[in-house]
Amino acid sequence: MKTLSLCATLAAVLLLGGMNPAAAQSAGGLTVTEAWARSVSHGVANGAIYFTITNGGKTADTLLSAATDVAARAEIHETRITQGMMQMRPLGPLALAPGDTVQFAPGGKHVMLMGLKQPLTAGDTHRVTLTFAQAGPVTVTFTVRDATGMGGSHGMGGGHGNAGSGKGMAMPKQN
Amino acid sequence: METATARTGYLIIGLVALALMVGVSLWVWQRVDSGASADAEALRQYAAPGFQVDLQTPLLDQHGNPTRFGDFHGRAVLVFFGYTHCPDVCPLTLAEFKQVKALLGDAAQRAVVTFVTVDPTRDTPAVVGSFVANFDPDFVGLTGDPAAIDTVTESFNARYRLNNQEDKQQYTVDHTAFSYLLGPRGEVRYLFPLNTSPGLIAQAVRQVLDT
Repeated sequence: MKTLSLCATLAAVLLLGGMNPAAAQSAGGLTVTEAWARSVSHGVANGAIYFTITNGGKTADTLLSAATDVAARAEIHETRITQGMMQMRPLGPLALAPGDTVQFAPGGKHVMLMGLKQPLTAGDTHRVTLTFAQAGPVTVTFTVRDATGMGGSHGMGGGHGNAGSGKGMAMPKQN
Repeated sequence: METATARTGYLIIGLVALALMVGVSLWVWQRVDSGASADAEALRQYAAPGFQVDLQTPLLDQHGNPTRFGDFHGRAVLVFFGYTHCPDVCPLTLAEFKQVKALLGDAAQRAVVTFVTVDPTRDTPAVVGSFVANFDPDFVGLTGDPAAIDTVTESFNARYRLNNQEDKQQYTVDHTAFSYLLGPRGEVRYLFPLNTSPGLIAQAVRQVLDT
């Protein structure tokens, strides 16, 4: 009887663990989902990574910096329109209060990849390490999507991969 | 007497039925038409005053061929000013143009998408070519002599500003983010802000080609 309930508990824990619906990548209360980058041709220097961060925990945290092997430098940036001009500026530390969800999406916040060491090809995956004040460094796998921002999904597998990016165009609201 | 009443009755029924049919038709037509009017209305807000841009000054396309906007005479031309070190907005806009082209179907042959760099120092023809090829090798990437780029850019009322130039490799460029739609004679017909729906832009292209 005891063995049975132990097995049942174990099974439940394993099931729940593998059932993470967004195949999210988490640390502490922080979850990073849908990490993706648009494809970039050979010969083009820069790219951008997009994702959603949620602070589902009870501790406030702050995103401090980003780093990746696939580019010389990675920085957290934001695109803004000021007086009709597009401006892209480095973003200082990004506060994440408990319950906050922050979107990094085209036309807004992004991790800028500066000095790519290789082209980004649709379907490939790479890693970026996001460093937080409390949670420390969190390594996130991102998927390269095609130029329109579609596809490149690796489906729902368990483990480290992203959830399928089949949520269509990851673009901000259209008119 | 009976027959007359019956006939009147039928007449009344007939008239009512007719009125109903006309009423329903009008209502349906109004609903359908208001959909089309809503689109036309949405497009109107982006209409430009029809000013001419510089058609003469030669730029260079990604193959190194001298290219002027006058070369696109007879076609609808989508234009965006940006730079290839731009990681976010410029790829986003070219991705939207790619969708516009897909929506146009056959009509795409009468349109051309151009990307003009406001950073000709870093953006050589080869680099501009790589940048647009990621989206569509038929997109025209334009660079050239900085003075020529300035002349053409100003004729569109587009503006740009180089920043933190002490970093020779990674300086950024602020730039106006409108997309321009030129008519077949080189006049600006529409100005689209960032994130205008590809469906609306495609509609504008068709309209420009039909008039």
